[in-house]
Amino acid sequence: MKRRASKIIFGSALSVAAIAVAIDHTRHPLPEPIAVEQRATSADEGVATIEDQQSEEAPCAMDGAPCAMGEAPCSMD
Amino acid sequence: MRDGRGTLQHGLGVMTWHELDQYISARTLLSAIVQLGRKETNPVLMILGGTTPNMEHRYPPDGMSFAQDCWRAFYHSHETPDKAPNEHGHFHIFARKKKESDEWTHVVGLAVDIVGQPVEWFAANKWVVRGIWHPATYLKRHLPPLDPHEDKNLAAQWLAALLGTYRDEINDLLVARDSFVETHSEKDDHTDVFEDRSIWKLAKCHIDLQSKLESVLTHHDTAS
Repeated sequence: MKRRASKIIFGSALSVAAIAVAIDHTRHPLPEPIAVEQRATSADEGVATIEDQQSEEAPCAMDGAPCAMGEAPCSMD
Repeated sequence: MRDGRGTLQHGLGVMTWHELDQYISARTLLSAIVQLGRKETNPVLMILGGTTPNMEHRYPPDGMSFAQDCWRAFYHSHETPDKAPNEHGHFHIFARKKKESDEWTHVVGLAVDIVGQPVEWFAANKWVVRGIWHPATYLKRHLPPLDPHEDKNLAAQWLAALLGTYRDEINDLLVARDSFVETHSEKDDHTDVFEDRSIWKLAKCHIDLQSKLESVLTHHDTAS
C-alpha cells in the first residue's frame, strides 16, 4: 500500500486560548510531602528510612508486589 | 465522514497514522484536562485522595493500572540530587508486553511541579528502578498500545494520553539514555554506570504542556 494511502484528512477549530485556560484550571497547590524524619520513630527503634534503603537498594523499582518500598528505590518491588 | 477510498474526511488537515495517534492522544489529554479543571483538581490531587503524602509511601498504594493492565504507574515524593524545578514528586511508569507477564520494564519517569503540572520526562538509572532493561530500539517497537480514550479513571486517562502525546519525545529520551550509557561506561555490561549511586537520571526532557498541545492540535486543525 502506498504511503499516501495512510494519510487521513482531519480537522476542527480549537483556540490556543482555550488550551491555556483549560490547563490553568488544573493548577492547584499540592500538599507538601511529610519527610521521613518527621515521623515519630527513628532508626534507633529499627524503622528503616528511605535514606537507609537508598544507600544500597533501588528506591523506585516495581517487581513482584507492585509499589511496595522494595529493594530498588523506585521499583515495582 | 469516510470517502470512497476509506480515508476519513473531517475537516482541513491531512495526517499520517502516526500523527493521527498523537492527535487523538492530545485531544483525549485536553478532554481529561478540561474534566479535571471542572472538578477543581489535577491528576496528583486525585491520586493522593485528600491525604498528605508521606515520603515513604506510593500513590495509589497498589499502583495505577491502565491500558488493559499492560501499563502501571505510581507517584511518590522523595529527595533526589537531580530534581526538576519546583518538583513536588514524580510518576514512575512501567510497561509489560502481555497482561500475564511479570516482566515489567521502566519506560519513563514524569516529574510534577508543586501545582500539579507535568514539568519533565526522565529516564531513571537501572539501580533506581530495576526490572527488565530494554534498549530504546526495542521499546519503540514493542511497547503495548495506550488507547487513552478507553480508560475510565481520569488520572489514568490523563497519564496515558500524555504518554501518547509525547511519544516522539519519549523515544528520543530513551535513545539519549542509551547514548549516555554507551558514552560513559567502560564495561561491556555497563554495570559501572547502571550501579553508580551518584547517577539517578540518565536523560531528561523539559515539558511545556501548553506549547505541545498548541503544536499538535492547532497545527492540524488549521492545516489544509
